Amino acid sequence: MSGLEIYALTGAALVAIGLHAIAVRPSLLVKIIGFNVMSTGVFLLLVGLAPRAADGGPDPVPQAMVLTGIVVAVSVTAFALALTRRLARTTGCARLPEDA
Amino acid sequence: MPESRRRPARALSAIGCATLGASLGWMALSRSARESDLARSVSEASTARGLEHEVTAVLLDFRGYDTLLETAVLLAALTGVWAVHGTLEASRGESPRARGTRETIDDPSGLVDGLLRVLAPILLVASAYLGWAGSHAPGGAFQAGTVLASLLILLTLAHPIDPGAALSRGARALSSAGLWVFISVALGTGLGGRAFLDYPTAWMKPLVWLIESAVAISVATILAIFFVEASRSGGERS
Repeated sequence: MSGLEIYALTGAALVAIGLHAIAVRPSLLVKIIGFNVMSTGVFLLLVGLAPRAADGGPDPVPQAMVLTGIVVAVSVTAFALALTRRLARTTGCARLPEDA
Repeated sequence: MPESRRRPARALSAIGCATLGASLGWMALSRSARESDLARSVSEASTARGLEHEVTAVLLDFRGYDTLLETAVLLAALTGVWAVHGTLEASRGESPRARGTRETIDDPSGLVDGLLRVLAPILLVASAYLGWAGSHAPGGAFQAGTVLASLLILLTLAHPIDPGAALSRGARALSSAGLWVFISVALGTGLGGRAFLDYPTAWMKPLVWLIESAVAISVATILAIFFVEASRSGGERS
């Protein structure tokens, strides 16, 4: 235990919360927020689990991966929001059909 | 579907997600704390390559291909947003209605302008510092680009621009500049008889600096355009 497990544990909880929101909430906006919560959890998990380097510094490889992941998540969020807005404008409703 | 029939599905999802979270947490706790050989080899290799900051070395040198594709992902998302919003048709004037109107903020007190006068120089300097610091301290192209984007967003809030302006040649050139510079450098190293994206160590600093500046400007432009597109209303109504 190095006291850093709290970050990884928070990350694990965020992944679960985000995934649940994506799975059960019909609103697309909530799904996008859930996706962002989940990806934040994955980033926290990655950084929290990163092995310490020999000199006690952080391992740069997971940090670089997380940095790349954040940018990709932002891109995906922007595109998903644009799609949702288009759907809302076209159908008047930004939810998935519930009795499919 | 009535609420009563949705409840089992919700419970199932809750149980599944809780199990996933618990097993991730268990994995996090039970993982034996070991030293990373990878971190040491990255540290040694980046010192040998003349980049003092390991994260930048990983991003631009060892995993340069990832970062190249990451800039491509940003550009692809921007293209997607433009396509979905019908911005291209709007800018060609095919449907004048589709140009839409920008929501503007009423600023009779000049508060936003005053704030901008204070913030703009600070944000510019902070962004330039973050970009410059990338080679030896935490910082880099994406951080610099994000700070610059916040300045651009504040500017568009204070002085609303025509949505068409976000599609001007200049804006398009700036948003793709990072990718073009990155690809040119990558092809250049190929023409020089080296592998794709394998920079010569002597050229490392200037090349990384060139790529980082171009990528930072592209990131800032793309993020600001995302914002302008999102605040544009009525664009895609046909």
